[in-house]
Amino acid sequence: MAIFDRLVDWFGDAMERRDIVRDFNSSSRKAWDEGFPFMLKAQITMGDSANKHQFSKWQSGFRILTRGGQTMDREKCSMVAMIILSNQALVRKLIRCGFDTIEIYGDGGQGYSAGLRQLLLD
Amino acid sequence: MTDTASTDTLAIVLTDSTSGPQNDSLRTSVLAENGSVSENSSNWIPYAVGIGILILVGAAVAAMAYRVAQKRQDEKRREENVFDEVFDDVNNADKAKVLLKELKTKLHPDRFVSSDTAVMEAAQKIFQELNESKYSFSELQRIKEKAVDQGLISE
Repeated sequence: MAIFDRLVDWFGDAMERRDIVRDFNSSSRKAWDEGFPFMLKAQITMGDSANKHQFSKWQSGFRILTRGGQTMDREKCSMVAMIILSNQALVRKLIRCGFDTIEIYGDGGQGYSAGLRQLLLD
Repeated sequence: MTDTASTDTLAIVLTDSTSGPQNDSLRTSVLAENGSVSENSSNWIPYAVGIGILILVGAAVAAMAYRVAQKRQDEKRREENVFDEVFDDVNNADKAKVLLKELKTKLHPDRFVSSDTAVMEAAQKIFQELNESKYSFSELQRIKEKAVDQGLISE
């Protein structure tokens, strides 16, 4: 039954990662409907191997892209990144689920990328 | 029953005659010289075994999926969507800047130098929390309430 439990855990982890992306996209749609200036979308990417930690999965990047609304320049990308990263509970959850890199890209490919592990406050 | 014997094998032809000649079903057994019997009509056994295995595997996958779904449901009930707060904070980024400036002025540790040690330590701790949560309007509001409760600032 240990193999069965492991399989259940593996499926559970994979679905939890998809849940995080789905929760983000759902909040983004709700925020846009309520007047948020940017329409953002999250997706899972390969990440950056330089940011690897012991919980990193194969696809360890959490990428946020702008899909519409106002122009999102690098400064605004940094602001969104700082707000996400100041939420320590969220950073810990992302690390636990196997993400090690957060990427936020706006219009014209400008963006911000950071390793999650370095941003944990002890 | 009709018996037909050859030099090497003894063939026994069995006829099921209970339902009349037109509904007879014919079963043929070949009795080999060494006495072993093989049945040509038992080809269904491998298929039955295969279907049984498929059913078992399907049941195992279904049980796994059900357990995973139960686990997810339990966790969802416990957790809120953290991203709602993140989007609120992004929306309120300008208000957060104003509130941060106000709190940094009111809660700077230098303002509590002449107070007792406990008050000074509380002020330092809160100021540190301010620096950690400077982008989050909801967190800054919470810190302000905490400072008011501790008597460090008035509303």
